[in-house]
Amino acid sequence: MTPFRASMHWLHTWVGIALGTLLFAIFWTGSLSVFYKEIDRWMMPMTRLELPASVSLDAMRPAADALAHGTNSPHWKVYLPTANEPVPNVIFQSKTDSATLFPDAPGNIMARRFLDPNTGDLLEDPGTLGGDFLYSFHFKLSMRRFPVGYYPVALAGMAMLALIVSGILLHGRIIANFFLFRRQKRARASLDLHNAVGILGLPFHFLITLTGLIFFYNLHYPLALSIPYGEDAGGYNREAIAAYARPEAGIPAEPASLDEMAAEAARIWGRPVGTVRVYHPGDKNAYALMMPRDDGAVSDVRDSLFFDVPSGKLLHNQVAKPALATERFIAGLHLIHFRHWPVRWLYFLLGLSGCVLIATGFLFWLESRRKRHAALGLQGVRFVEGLTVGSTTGVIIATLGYLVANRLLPSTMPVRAAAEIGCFYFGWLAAFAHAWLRPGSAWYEQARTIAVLAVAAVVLNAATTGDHLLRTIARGDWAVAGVDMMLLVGAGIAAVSARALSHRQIAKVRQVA
Amino acid sequence: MRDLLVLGGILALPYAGFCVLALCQDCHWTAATDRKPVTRPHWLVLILAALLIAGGLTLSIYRDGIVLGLIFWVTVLTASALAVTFTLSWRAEWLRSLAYAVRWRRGTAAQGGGTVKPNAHD
Amino acid sequence: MRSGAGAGVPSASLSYAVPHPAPDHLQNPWAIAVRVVTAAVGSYFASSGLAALGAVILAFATGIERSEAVMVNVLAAFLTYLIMAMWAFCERRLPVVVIAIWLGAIATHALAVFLVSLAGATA
Repeated sequence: MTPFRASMHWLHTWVGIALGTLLFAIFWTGSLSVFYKEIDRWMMPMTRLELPASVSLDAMRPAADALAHGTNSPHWKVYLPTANEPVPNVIFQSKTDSATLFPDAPGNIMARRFLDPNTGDLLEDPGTLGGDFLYSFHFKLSMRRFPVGYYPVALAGMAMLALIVSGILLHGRIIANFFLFRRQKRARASLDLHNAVGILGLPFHFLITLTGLIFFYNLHYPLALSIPYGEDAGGYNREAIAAYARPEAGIPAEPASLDEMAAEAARIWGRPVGTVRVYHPGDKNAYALMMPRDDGAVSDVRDSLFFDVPSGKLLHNQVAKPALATERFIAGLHLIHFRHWPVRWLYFLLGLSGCVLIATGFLFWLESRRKRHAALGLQGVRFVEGLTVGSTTGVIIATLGYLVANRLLPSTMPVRAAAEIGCFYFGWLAAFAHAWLRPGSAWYEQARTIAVLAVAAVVLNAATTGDHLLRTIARGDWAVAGVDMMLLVGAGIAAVSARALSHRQIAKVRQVA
Repeated sequence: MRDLLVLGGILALPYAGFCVLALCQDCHWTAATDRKPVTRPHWLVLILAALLIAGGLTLSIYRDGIVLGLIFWVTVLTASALAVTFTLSWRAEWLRSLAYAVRWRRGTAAQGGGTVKPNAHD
Repeated sequence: MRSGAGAGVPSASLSYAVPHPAPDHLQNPWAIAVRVVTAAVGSYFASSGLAALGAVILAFATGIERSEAVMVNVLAAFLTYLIMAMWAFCERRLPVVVIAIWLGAIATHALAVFLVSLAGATA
């Protein structure tokens, strides 16, 4: 083997083992994030409402102003309802945060509350982060107070690119083995499946990883953004992104009609408004930033219109220039906000195939070293086997624990959102401990646990909200019905896997005996 | 209804194209037919496979325009190629007729085109 | 073209996939540690400096807006990071890797800052 090929081998193996756990979690939560709004509906029953014919921003303004009141630089952001999120929601800087253990700590956390789509009134506090926890875990490990989670994810993303390229470069027989999957023998089965998913899924895996990295370019390349501007460090932001800002005046003033400003914005763009941000609400210098709804095209447009709130006058029109528009298109390829259900489902399935890629990589590492480590008395296989189980079935158990806790925890509980998140991490740690303590039967027992938890989640949804599967399908609530159905499908797959694993274990025991 | 047919075509045409490509490889042809292949596939068969795969792209662009159509097609390529891999692994015999269409001269037992043992992948 | 039984039959041996001893330049743990840090951290700064320098040169050479020049270079930086990081593990001679990447990181940043200050002085 040439030194180059051997280097690729070494790199692929070691980076894979070191970062496989984090990468599996990122691919898993990323796949679920395709449907994070549907998971929101499942986890927050009070938001299972119908999309109204029209919504009024002016009706929402009192509730939003009240939420933003009292912070350093008050502002709020409203997402107008769409088909898969029929309730408007407000993002605001929260003075307290029920998703941490210290709810009264000084707030620089952005919180989210939902509004009634017809009246604009605040809905009761859902007491959960919902699908947004999984979504933000995917790109920042859901660390709310200290924004450091972005960086391990970025490192893992760059490592994934290196894994993909090294995997291609070390693969010997790409064309000959293109459609090959010899599932009879364990070692070959895992390698063949790993190669098949890796080669056949190459465009998806490479592009989803690269687009995900590019999305956060301003976090990851701050020097490259600031050095070309010399003394003017904030120059890039000012030229390309936040083209308009003005400070508070300290003088109260009555706002004009936000609905009329939205209509003007829709007229200028040719499509409706998607999000509205108001800075310094109730002030003379209040201004509104409106962005269009982004479900029509691929690009994740952030072209903004700035309005003077007291008068309704248009202040500034920010349109992206070509290179930035390219980056927005690249971001849109990752976020897939556009309405196209076949592509969203394919992204979901291909994301899960990424999980299969990582899992089979671990499995092949284990199978190709099991005999040698047992003969030499090395502990590597034992450690990595526990790591594999915890990384794969473990994070799935954690997610299901999060959903089940959502249905079981009482709504009057003080730090309910934090408790749910605690169940997620506790489930994950427990899975790791179980995997290391009971190596022989870990796979089987965790597969069984997944099946049980998934069915329990569906049953609990029906029991606690009355929205059982027949009722949600009858009323056309595909969000909740879809989550229930996917839970049942997942339970089925887990149950079948458990049966297959138990047969293999019985056979292994018989071989030894 | 019409949209379902178009969607079905976008999924089925690349699947068929990849089936043809896979059956051009000896090991998969053997898996489908339990015989050793004697003849090579005609080069027109490869053209056919390419046309089937490109046909999926055409339908996709027709349905969704160039940008979305291209994105849809690229994801369908991966999904259909994986589907072919799983078909060959679990139910290779489903592709038997297509295999005989791809290489239409099976050869006699004397030429070595006889049956082989089932687990041909060993 | 897939012809004959030989090329069409998949390899029964997994010789291209089973554990192999590490290549010579990846045996010593200290050498590995240096390469890891150079690949993860050094290549990052080298790609960042290259992007900054490239943006400055592109903006002044073509006159396109600075934010556009920056964006084009940052998009490329992700790929240059990847290439340099992988090269850090392939290149046999460790001194070449360390000097090229770390010196490159410092030099590109310094040159970019210097060029911007020149332009600032003349503007």
